[in-house]
This record gives sequence, C-alpha cells and structure tokens, in this order.
Amino acid sequence: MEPFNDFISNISPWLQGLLEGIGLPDVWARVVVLGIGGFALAFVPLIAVIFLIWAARKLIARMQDRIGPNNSGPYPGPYALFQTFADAIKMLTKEDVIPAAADRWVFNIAPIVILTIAVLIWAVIPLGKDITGSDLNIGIFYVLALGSGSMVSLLMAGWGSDNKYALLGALRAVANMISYEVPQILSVIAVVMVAGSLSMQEITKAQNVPFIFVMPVTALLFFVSSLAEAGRQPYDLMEADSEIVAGYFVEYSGMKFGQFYLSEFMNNFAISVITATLFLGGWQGPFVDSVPILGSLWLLLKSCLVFFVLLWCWGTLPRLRIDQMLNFNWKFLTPVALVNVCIVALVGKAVPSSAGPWMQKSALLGANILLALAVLGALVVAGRQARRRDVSGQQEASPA
Amino acid sequence: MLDQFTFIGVFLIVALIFGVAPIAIAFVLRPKKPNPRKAETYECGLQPHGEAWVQFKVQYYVFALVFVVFDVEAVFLLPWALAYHQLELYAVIEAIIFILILLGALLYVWRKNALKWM
Repeated sequence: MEPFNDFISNISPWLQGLLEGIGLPDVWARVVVLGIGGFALAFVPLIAVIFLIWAARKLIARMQDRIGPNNSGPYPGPYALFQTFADAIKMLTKEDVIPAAADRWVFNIAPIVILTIAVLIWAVIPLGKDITGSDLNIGIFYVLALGSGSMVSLLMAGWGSDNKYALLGALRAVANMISYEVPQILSVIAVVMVAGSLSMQEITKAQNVPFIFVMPVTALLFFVSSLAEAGRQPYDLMEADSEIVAGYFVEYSGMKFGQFYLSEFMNNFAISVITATLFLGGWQGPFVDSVPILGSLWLLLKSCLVFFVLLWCWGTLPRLRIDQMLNFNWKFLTPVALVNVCIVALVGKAVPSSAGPWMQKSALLGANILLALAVLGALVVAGRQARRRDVSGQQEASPA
Repeated sequence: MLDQFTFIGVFLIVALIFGVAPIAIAFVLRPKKPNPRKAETYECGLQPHGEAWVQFKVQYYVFALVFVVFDVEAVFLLPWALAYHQLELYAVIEAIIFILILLGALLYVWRKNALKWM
C-alpha cells in the first residue's frame, strides 16, 4: 500500500512541476494544483451521498416494514442501487417554476448558497492519516462557523418564497439551529480542552482512547445537538411534511429542490464524520501505522456506524413540537452542557498530569458517569413533581 | 499556514462551481412552459390569501436574544479551552465562575418565564 500514499503525496509536486514546465508562473501553478485537489475532495461527499441516499431509503423502509426502492422498475438496477441516479436525472429535466410573488434574487441564490456551504465544510475534515484538504489550526471552529452560515440560506429560502409554509419552516429552522448551536459549541469546548487543539487532525491524534469512552456525556450532547442542527428526526419540524408541507423549500422545484435535498444529506454525512472524528477516534485504528490508507477505511466504517444511528432515530422517533424542542434545549441540554464543561475543567486540573494519562482518563470517565447519574436523578425527581402537579391540577379542575 | 488558507480560498471557488453547476445543467436540460397558474404561490390548492411577509411571533426574538448571550460566551471560552493545558488552577476557577454567572443568567431567564412558549 506504500505506493498509493506516495502517489497522493507526490502527485502535487509532480503536477506543479509539469505546469511550471509549460510556463505558468509558480503561484498560478500552485493555485491550479490546489483547485484540482479541491475538485477531487469535493467529489468525496458527493459520491458518498449518492449511495447514502440509497442506503437511507432502503434501511428506513425496512425499519418501517416497507420494501423501499427495489428492482421492480425498468431502471433502478440490482437492489435499486441506481435509483438515486434516476432521481437525479429526473430532477435535472424538471421544469423550474419560480412563483410570481417571490423575491427572485434571494429565491434563486438560496439553493446555491446552501450547497456551497455543505461542500465547504469538507475542506477541514480529516479523511485519513495526513489526508485533509487543509488542516486548519482552527478546524472545528471553521465547521461551527459554516453551520451558522447555512442558517442564513434557510432564512433566504423561506423569506424569499413569499409563502406562509416556507416562512413558518424557515423561522422554525432558525429557532432550532440557533438554540442547538449552544450545547454543540459547549460540547466542542469540552473536547478542545482535553485534546488541546482546534485542528481536526490534532484532535484525532489525541485520541489514543476514543473520547466516547472518556466523556460519553459530551459525545451524547454533541450528537443530539448536531442532529437538531441538521434538522433530522425527531427535530425535523422545520420540514414537517405533514403540517407545513416541506417548510422552507416548499416552492422549489426541479434541481433547486434537488440541491436542498443533496445539501441536507451532505450535512447529515458531515455530522456523522465529525462525530466519528471527535469522539470515535477518526481514522485511528489497528494497523494504521503500517498501512496508512486503512485509516480512511476505519473512518468510513465509524461514520457509517454513526450514520446508521442517525437513520435509526429518523426511522423510529416521532417529531417534537416547537415548545418541546426549545424546552429540551434551554432547560435541559444547555445547563447540562455548561455543567459538563465545568466538570471536565475541574477534573483535568484536580488529577495532576504526573498521575499519568490512564489515571486522568478514568477520572474523567468516572466524573462523566456521576454527571449522567445526577442528571437522570434530577429528571426522575422533576418528572415526579410534574406528574403530581398534573394530578392535583386535574382534581381541582374536575367538578367534585 | 498561508497555504492552508489559500486552499480554503480555492476551495470556495470549487464549492461555488459545485453549487452552480447542477442549476446550470438543469437550465440547459429543463423544459420551459410558463403559465401564470403555475407561478401562483402554493397554498394547498387554495387561492393564496395575502402576503407572507408579515410581522411574526415575537417569541422567536426572545430566544434569539438568549442565544446571543451564549454565543458570545462561546467566543470567550474557546481560547480558554485551547490554552487549558498551560493554565494555572486559578485561571480555570475564574472561567468556571464565569460559566456559573451564565448559568445564573439562564436561571433568571427561566424564572422570568421567557423560555415558556406562549
């Protein structure tokens, strides 16, 4: 496997030499090489998503006791593997209807912005040992920043459509995304504290033991809030087919709708890969040191595992109401995330580094388990009180 | 370092191409049969009633205000988290006091019923 890694690391100097040989100034040669690399990188999520859409439809159909896409039609191929391609061709050849009332500029730019942002996230994600588009030293911060950017495009789509369903969907989406960004950032802060870096490669390298075994509460917080950020069930009330039809993209047709759909799946896969990188050890695994390309395989397996959990939530959980969603965030996730940051900070300093990494890690794990038990206890008490209030309220209300 | 950000710049252009290309391909392939009926706003088949650009529920604004507090806080906490390994205990305690003040603010908002969906 060595030649393959040499291939990746040698191809860019070789290409640059070739371009300079033609007579291109070396700055432009560098830009062209980076551009080609960028194209190669941008195709990774695109190809992954094409198959993940198939997998998602198939698996969710099985969870809900349906067959899902199958080979009964003329085109879809064995196990309907080519269904996504057929859908893509269908969308490309559909007429594009722009409502007369819509704000045309905002309406047309929104799908471009959302797909651009969904692709941009992949620039910093480590796809294997030393395979990253650009290992920024602010990597995870860049991802969080782009997450807020996609919120703007949702608002553009919802407001620009001049449609009541779209407006409702967009405002729900914004409320959802800004709320759940808080626990997401706070759980990332806990990870950064333990790893000591914002760079995604450095965070991966810091995980001799995957962080999910060191701080399971943080991992759960991050996954749940990312799920909400991506608008997946049970947080899909921004799309909510059965109440506001399709939310912010109800007026879009043809490939513009396709771009929303595509970027949604790209974001879903991105959060799977980011969760795998931050908490499951990323590309780290057995034999990575001798055969570096195996790292990409481990990362793929881990992120498919996370994606499966996401599909599991998608296929089984009912949708939350907006007040439930906001309550769950502000009255549960945010306080827990704040306390979690304090606990991680205190435990890291209370156990001196002279005690060794294993001691520190087990102390963190113990503190996390205690936190989880305390939270569950608080939930039990709060639930009991709420039920008692309900019962007494009913007794007062009923005519005796 | 600069090379890394050059890549982000180049990748922005690549991503824009990825964003525009499907629409451009569809522009070539798609049929175009405009019709005033088609361009009506979709409202489940009924005649649309009024504009959608209306004044909206103020409750969302309250949540946005609470969010701003916590987002600014995150900006303060990220450098602290990054420097955590070099920090003395008192710096950590200070940051924890800062977080506890925020937790107090959250409790205040909670008690004021601003988090209750009307």
